[in-house]
Amino acid sequence: MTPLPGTHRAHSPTGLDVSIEVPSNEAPDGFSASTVKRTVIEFPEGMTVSPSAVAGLDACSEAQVGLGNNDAPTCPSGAKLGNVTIETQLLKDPLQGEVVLAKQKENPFNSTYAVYLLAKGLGFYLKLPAEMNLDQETGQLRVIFDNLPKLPFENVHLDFRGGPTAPLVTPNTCGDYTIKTEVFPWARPNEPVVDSVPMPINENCEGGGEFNPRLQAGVENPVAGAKSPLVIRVTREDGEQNLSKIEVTLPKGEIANLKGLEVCPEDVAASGNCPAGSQVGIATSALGTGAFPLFVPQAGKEPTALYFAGPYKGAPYSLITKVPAQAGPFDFGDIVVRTAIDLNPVTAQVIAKSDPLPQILEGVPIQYRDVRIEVKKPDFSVNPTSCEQRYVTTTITSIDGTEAHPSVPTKVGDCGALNFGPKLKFKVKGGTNRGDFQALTAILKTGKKEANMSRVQVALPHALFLAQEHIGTVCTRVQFAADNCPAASVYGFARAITPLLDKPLEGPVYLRSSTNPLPDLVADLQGQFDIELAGRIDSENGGIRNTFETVPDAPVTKFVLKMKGGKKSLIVNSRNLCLAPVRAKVRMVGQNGKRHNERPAIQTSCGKKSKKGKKK
Amino acid sequence: MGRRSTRSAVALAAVLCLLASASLAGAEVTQEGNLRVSFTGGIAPNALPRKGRAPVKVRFGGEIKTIDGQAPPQLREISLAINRNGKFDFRGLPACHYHQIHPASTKEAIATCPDSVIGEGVFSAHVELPEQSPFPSAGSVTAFNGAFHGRHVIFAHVFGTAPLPQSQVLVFNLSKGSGAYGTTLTAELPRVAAEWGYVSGVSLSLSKVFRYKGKQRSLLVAGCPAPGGAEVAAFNFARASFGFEDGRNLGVTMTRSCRVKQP
Repeated sequence: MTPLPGTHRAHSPTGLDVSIEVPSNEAPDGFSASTVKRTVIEFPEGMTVSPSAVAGLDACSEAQVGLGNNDAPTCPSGAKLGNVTIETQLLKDPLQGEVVLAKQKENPFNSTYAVYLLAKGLGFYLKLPAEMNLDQETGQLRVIFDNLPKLPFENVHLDFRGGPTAPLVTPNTCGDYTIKTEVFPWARPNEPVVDSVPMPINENCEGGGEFNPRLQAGVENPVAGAKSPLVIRVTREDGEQNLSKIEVTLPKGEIANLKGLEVCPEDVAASGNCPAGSQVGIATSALGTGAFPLFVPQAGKEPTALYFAGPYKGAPYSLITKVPAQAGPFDFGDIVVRTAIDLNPVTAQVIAKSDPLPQILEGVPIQYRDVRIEVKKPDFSVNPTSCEQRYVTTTITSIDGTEAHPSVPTKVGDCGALNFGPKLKFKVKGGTNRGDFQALTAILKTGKKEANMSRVQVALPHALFLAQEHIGTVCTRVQFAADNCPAASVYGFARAITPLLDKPLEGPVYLRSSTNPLPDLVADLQGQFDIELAGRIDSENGGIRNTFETVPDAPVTKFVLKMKGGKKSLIVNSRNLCLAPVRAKVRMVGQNGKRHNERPAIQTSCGKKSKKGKKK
Repeated sequence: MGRRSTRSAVALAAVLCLLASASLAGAEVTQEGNLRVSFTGGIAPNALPRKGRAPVKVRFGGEIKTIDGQAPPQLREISLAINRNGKFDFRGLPACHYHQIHPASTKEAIATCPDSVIGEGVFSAHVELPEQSPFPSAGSVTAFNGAFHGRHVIFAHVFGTAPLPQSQVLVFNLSKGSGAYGTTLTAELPRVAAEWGYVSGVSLSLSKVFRYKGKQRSLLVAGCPAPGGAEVAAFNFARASFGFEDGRNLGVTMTRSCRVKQP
């Protein structure tokens, strides 16, 4: 028996020619060769069934084959995988026929994969089922014809179709492989004739085992601050290591609108049976080897979906990619891949880390050629309000653990159309005399169609000194990272209201150790996502200055910072505040580069006291 | 007295003068465990009348270090007992009040109590916050004649802008000394930056010449206690000590010399 692949190229779809020859004994006094009872073809590891083959393929049911009767099979033409020719000395002309794919689980073996060998003879039909065993972990293929009729034949020739949609795919790397064959005769069914047929793979060796995935990403409507669908696409070339994990970090300001968004309940998240309201997009994949990989979803099959779900692997949210594994005549159920969605607490950049992608399904290795995620729920994805060039960065891991870091630049435009004029007001609560401690409140409000804040610097007037005696303790970075800051390191409270979330982000304000000369003032905002807003403290012209150098490119309609007063106050009057107005110096820069400076008066209780006095 | 003995007397006087100058500029160092304090101080001018007293300026300072590089404990008390030959005279000096100068910048404090200013100096500290690079904090010191809770005191107003604007006022209580010492100045210090800072040095010089009731007066006056015939005298200028948070108290007696000012 000589099974010969149609190509010696690595990682290529291939047809297959199988010849089984049983030479007849021409000697008049010799014994005839036994008829063949069973044949087994075991392909080498790495040579697997090609997903590309199933696109447009059909399958034949037992009824259509008509096993057990002599009716003409009525298999659909799309079920044909190849041709068969059987030469026997009993007939003048060889038997001609087809090899057709059997229906999944509806075949004599109740197996996922099986074929029928159907040949027409003179007044009869030869109908032989063959089982295809695929190793569930390696995809290694064994084709078994068993209980063959005691039909003496000289030659059986199976010709499986070649080309880009051929049923098999050669190993990824070049080498000397062998195909093992076993032929069991009816005469001695336990004494097979075992042979190994060389299968050299020595062409198209380039690229085998490398890993250079490519990335494409962008928004459909690249206008600053606009809501626009987002597309991320990862592709890999044939022969390269397969994709295993994909981690994507979106550019600063490319964020999501979660307000009112339905979250897929956890009890159905694992199955991917999420409610329609939680769908935020779709996924498209191209799987397989060769020029025509299998695209999922296939026309007429169930669509894919991308759902928004709750906490996963320490991240506050997750995405569920549901891909119905339906192609051609096969239905393998749903592939559900979950991706943890976290936010960089400093930049508010979205970080998506996928679970390992399935590598094999029902014995068919899944070679990812193209993975495309389209986040297209209306008003879900929001563009940055900065027009500087930013990047979608990735860490893509192969099955061998190799990491690649492709990135693509992204840029939105029309930033000039966005205004920038936030209003920042201050007030102090406490005595107005020299030496009185103050509770400082700062309130920032922004308008509609404004660029987001990029940087804000506030210099307090000389009339307000640091109350160093009230520095109880500071939170170390280690403590902060462990969410274990001492209570004494809390000096205030902050709240941020954003139109993208259902609830405000709010939390304590700490003094936290930093690489700056002084500890930073850090607002630890918690809620649907955690954001830390760190301000550098220094002085300007003898006044305390605080600079938030990195403000996330996210819309905030109102931000309130309340510093404690009394014995926890960090601010003390260096003069009577009622003697003259006290003004802060505010410098703000929008994400669109526009600047807005203010000298707002700090509201004190001076006026209120005199008003009360007048009433009395 | 022959020419030779005259030359010897001049040479001796010159040596004594040099020694006197050297002691004025030098420092007394004391150490306990790893903690070392260098005290400096003296009076100026060095030439003082044998009888009676003349206006002087008193300087006093201390530098705190450890010999192993560890952060010193927090300085919590400063005490300076001044030789009884030096006399404070506060008569006619207006008293400034604590709330008038704290918190305030040096400029604002002086503007508030200009006539109460009686001295100046410098103050340095280091702040070592957890996980934070240590940073120095330095400030100027201005001394004010003051009144605090009905007591006559000297305020040492400390103001610095690095790293942030802040002010502090040390209250030096005045008390009568005993034995060789006439007046003792004692101040308790607040903690620097809670528990994270430590004082590394402080210096203060006190002097003020002013008019009161038509007479010129001086905050401090002193004479040279040289015995008859001697032109130079050595005396215990002051007894200084620093008390630290860990209970250690390091002090020295500073010996200085003066020479008799010829009428």
